[in-house]
Amino acid sequence: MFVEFCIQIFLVLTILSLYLAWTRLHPRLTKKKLVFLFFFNSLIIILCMSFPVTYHSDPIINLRVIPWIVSFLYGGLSVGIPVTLVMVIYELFDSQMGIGYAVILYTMMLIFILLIKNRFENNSYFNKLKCTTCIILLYDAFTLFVIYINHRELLINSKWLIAAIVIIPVLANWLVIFLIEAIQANDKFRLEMARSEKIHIVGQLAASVAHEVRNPITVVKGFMQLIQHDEKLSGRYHDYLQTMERELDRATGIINDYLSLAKPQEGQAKIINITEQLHTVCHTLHSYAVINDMRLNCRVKESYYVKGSIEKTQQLLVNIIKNGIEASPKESVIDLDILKEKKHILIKIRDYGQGMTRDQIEKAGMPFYTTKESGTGLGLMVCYQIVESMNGKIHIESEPSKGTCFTIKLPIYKG
Amino acid sequence: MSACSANRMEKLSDDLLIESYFKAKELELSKEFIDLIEEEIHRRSLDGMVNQYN
Repeated sequence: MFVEFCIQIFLVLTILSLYLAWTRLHPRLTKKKLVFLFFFNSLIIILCMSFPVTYHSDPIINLRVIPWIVSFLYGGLSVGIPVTLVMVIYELFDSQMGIGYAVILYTMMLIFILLIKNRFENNSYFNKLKCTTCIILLYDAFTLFVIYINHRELLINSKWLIAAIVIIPVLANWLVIFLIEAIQANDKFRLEMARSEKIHIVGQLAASVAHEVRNPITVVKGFMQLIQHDEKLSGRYHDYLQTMERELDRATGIINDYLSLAKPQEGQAKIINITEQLHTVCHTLHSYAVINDMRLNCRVKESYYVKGSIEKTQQLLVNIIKNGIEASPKESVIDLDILKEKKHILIKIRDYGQGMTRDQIEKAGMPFYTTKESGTGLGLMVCYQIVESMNGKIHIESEPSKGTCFTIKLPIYKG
Repeated sequence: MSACSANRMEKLSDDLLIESYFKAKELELSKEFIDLIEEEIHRRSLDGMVNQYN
C-alpha cells in the first residue's frame, strides 16, 4: 500500500513538473498553456484513477483531487470544467466508490473550490496552502466516510491507514503548491530582473546624452526669450516664438525625465508627510484637470509619513495622476486615497477611463513602452524607479473601458 | 562636453555677448542660461568688462 501511495505522488509530481518545465521553455504561449494545463491534469487524473491505492485489491483512495484543484485554481474555469468532465466520465466507466457517493463528493467539492477560487489568485502563499488544505481535508473526510461504509473492518483494524489517508494527500498537495508557487515566483523575479536591467541600460544611455542636449536647449531658449522681449518684434513672430518655446519646454521635460533616470538617488531622503504632498500635487494639477473637464477627488485626512525625496515623490504623484487624467473621458473623476496596511501605506489613484489590457499592464513601466499618442514611455518608468528607490511597489489593477487603479505601496516611516 | 561648449556661442561678438548677458539678467531668464553665458565670458577672458559695468 505504501508503494501505491508513492506511485500516486510520483505520478502527480512528475507530470506536473513536466508541465511546468514545458511552459517555462515556451513562456509566450499564454493560450496554449491552458490547453496543456488541461491535457496534463487530465493525464494525471486518469493515471491516478487507474492505479489507485488499494487494500486487499479494493481501491480506497487516489490523489486525483490534487490535479483537479490545481486546474481550477491555476487555470480558471476554462480548464477546471473540462478537467472535471474528464474525471466524471472516467468515474462513470470505472467508479471506485460508487456513483452515488461520487456525485455527492464532486458536487460538494466543486462548491468549495468555486467558493475559494475568487479569493485565491492574489492571495499569499500561506493562504493558498490553507485554502487547498481545507479542501483536501474535506476530501479525506469524505473518503474515510465511504471506506467506513463500504469496508468498516479496514478502519477498525488499521489505525495507520486512517493516518495515511489523511496525511498523505495533504503533504502531496503542499508539495505541489510549493512547486508551482516557487516556479511562478522565480519567473516573476526573472521578469523583474530583466526590467531593472533594461532601466539600468536606459539610465546609462541617458546619462551620456541627456546632459549634452540640455545645455544647447537652454541656450536656444535663452536667446529666444531675448528676442521675444524686443519691442520691434511683430505680432506674428511673437506667435512663432511662443510655439517654439512651448515645443522646447516639451523637449526639456523629456530630457529631464531621462536625467532623473540617470540619477535616481538624487534628492535627499527626508521624512515626508505623504498626505500633505498628495494635497499639494492635487492643488498643482487642479487647473490641468479643469482644462480636461475633470475633478480630482482627494479624500485623505489623516497624516502618514514616508521616507524619500520631496521632489521625487511629487514627480511620482504628478506623473500617475496626469496619466489618469489623460486616460479619462470628460466630466469624470479621479479618486485619490491613502490606506494603511500593517507596515505600509497604500496610495490609491483610481480613474474611470479607458483602462488597460492585461498585456498593457505587464508592459507598463517598461522603457519606451507607451499607449499615448505623444508619449515617450519614460514617465511611468521613472515612477517605477522612484518607488523602487523608496523600497516600495506599484500595483496596477485595470479593466479595459472601466478604469485603472494604481496602488503605490510604500513603507511607513516610524520615527 | 568641452567640445560642445567651446563652439556654442562663438559666432557672437564680445559686445553682443555682454549685452545679452545683462539683458538676460535684467529679464531674469533662467539661471542655467546666465551661467552658460558667464562661462563663455570667462572663456574669452572678458570678466573685466562685465565687472566694469557692474
